[in-house]
Parts: sequence; structure tokens; C-alpha cells
Amino acid sequence: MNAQLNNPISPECGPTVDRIQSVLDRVHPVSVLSADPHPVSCEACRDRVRSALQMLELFAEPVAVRPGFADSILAEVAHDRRVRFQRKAAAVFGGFAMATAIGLALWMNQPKDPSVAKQSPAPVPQQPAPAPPIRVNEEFAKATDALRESTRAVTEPAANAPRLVASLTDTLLKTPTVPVGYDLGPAGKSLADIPDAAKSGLEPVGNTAQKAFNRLLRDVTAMKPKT
Amino acid sequence: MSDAALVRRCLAGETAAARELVERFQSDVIGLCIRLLNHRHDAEDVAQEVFLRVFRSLKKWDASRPLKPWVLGIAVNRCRTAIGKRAKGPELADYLHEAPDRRPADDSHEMAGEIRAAVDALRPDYREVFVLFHERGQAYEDIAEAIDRPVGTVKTWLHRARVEVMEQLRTKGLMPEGEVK
Repeated sequence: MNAQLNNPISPECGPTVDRIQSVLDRVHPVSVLSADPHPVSCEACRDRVRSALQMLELFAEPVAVRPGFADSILAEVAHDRRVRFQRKAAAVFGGFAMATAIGLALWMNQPKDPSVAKQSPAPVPQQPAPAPPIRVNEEFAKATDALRESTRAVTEPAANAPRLVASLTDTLLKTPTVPVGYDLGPAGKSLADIPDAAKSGLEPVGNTAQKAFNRLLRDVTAMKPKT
Repeated sequence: MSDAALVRRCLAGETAAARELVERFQSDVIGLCIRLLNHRHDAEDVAQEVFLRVFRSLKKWDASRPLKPWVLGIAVNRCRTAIGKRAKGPELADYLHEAPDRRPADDSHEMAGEIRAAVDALRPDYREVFVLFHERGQAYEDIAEAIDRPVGTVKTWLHRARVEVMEQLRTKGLMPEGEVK
């Protein structure tokens, strides 16, 4: 590029230089150079044309290929294909062998007894639920209810006992209609000797005592534990 | 036989088709490798590797595109790799000792020898484009596809390569002042 700037081409040589360029670019055939009249009278353009033609002729020479070159190429290609096929086969075989080994290892590690495999795992023992916190109020209420029920079971028969005895003794103390021919003299005397306490039976649980007991239970249930 | 038909037969495993593919492109591939590597023996080794990769990658070739630029693109890449390995390899002196003598045998071939020497002195990417265009006769579009560059870049590099070659010839006294554009 610098040479071009330092050595400008004369206007008369311009068209010849352009033709040389077009021939080098294969835009025009070499014959256009022989048809150019300018180089006949211009030594510089004659040299330019001669250089260009020599360059084209030089590079147009076919390259000599030694005999048997194609055979050596084909032999090398065939060898290369064999080697690549062997490598592929080895890789495939190696992969298959590895897959088989892995499959065998998995198969051998499986459990023998199918039922064992099917059994569900032992249940995890559950810890007992923690006892609920003791509430004192509730416990007192339960205790009073139990006492009330028990007193009824005790007091009601006790309350009924004297009436039962009285009914029995009254019946016996009344002058019964003695059947003709029976003598109640000794039995009547024994009944008359029963002490009054016995006649009255157990100490009666009257309303007063019952009320006092109920009052006791009420006071107990009203007690609130200190929190 | 079209490129697509040839590739189909090669993929089908036909030995005759494989041979035809090699013979169709071996001159271009070897010529390119020689011009880029400046070493016949290295060029044949690289050319062999090029065809190995061509057959390995044949399935990936786009049938809608021409086959030659695709093959030459592989050749360019292999040559670049070889040049890179060479730069890390033996000392330059050893390499120059093995390099062929490019001086012309007589004066009649002085220009040709100097042109070759000037092309050899180009930077690799300029040389690739120059050789592909002038020696292998590839179009700008095919060169652009082979080296994976835009067409504009190819034209620019080609122009710069010509300028450098002509400048070399001028310094040798083989080109007049006022070089070709």
C-alpha cells in the first residue's frame, strides 16, 4: 500500500494496470493483455504484464502427486475406520458389562423372603399420653357426689329400719284375733319386753341430721384450692 | 459425477467412490499444503491427515454447498495446525536445512523463483488467500468459506498479498516503479 502511494502510476499506464488487475482477478482472460497496445510503447507496462503472466503461469502449474499417494490415503482411511470401530465396540461392551454388573448387584441385594419384604414395619411403641393435670375442684366434686350417693344408700335403709320394726312390733302388739285354739301368751309377753330402743330400731337419721350432712358436703365443695 | 452423488457413494462404503474422491482433490490439497508449508514431506503428511478428517466428517458436509471449498478449508486448518506445531518444534535452522532450495536453476526462471520466495515470505493468512486464489483457482466466495472469513476480508488480504509480492520483486529489481494496484 505504501509503495502504491510512493510510486503513483502515470495516467497513460492506468488502463493497462487496470487490465492486468482484472486478469489477475480472473474477471477477464489473459488474451486482453495481448490486445492492449500500450505496453508496446511503454517499457514499465511491458514489465508489469510480463510479471503478471509469469505469476499466473507459475501458479497454474499442476502439482505433481507421487504415484501411489491415493493408495496410501485409502489404506490409512481403512485403518482409521477399523481403529474407531474397535474403540466404539469396546466402549459399548464396557458399558454393557457395567450395566450388567450393576443389575446383578441390585438383584443380589434384594431380600430373599417376599413376605419379609411385604411386612409392614413394626409399629413404633407409642408413649402413653401424659396424665391430665389434677384439678382439685373437680376431685372434690367427685368425692362429694360419691359421699352423697353413699349416704343415701346407708341412710335410706336406716331410716326405713324403725318403721319396719315398728310395723312388725305393732302388728304383734296389737291384740290379734287369736284363732280359736291358739295361745299367744308367751310370744306376746316377749314382744312386750323388747326395749324401746329396740322397738325404735336404729337411731333415726332424721331431717336435721340429713340437713347437717348436706351442709357439710356443700361447704366442702365450696372450698377452692389455692392456685 | 456430482459432489453429492460421490459423497453418497462414499458414505455407502464404496471403495471406488472413495478412491475417486481422493484423486479428484489430491492435487489441490497437496499443492495447497506445499505452498503453505514450503516442505514437500510435511505437505504429504498433512495431506494424508486432511483426507482422514474429510472421510470422518463426510456426514457433516452440507450437500447444498460445493465440496472443494469444504475440503480445502480442512486443508487450511490442518496446515495452520502444522505451522503452529512447527513453531514449537525444532529450531528454525534445522527446518531451513530441510527446506527445498527455491532459487531458480537458471536466469530464465529467476522471476518464477523470486515470485515463489516472495509468496513464501507472506504472512500465513495472506499466503493462504493468495495460494487459494492464484494457485488453486478458487473464487472469492469459496475462499471465504474455506477460511471462514468474509468475502471483503478475502479481497483485502489478496490485494495486500499482491502488493507485498510486487514490492519484493521491485526490491529485487524485477518490477518497475509504480506497482500493480
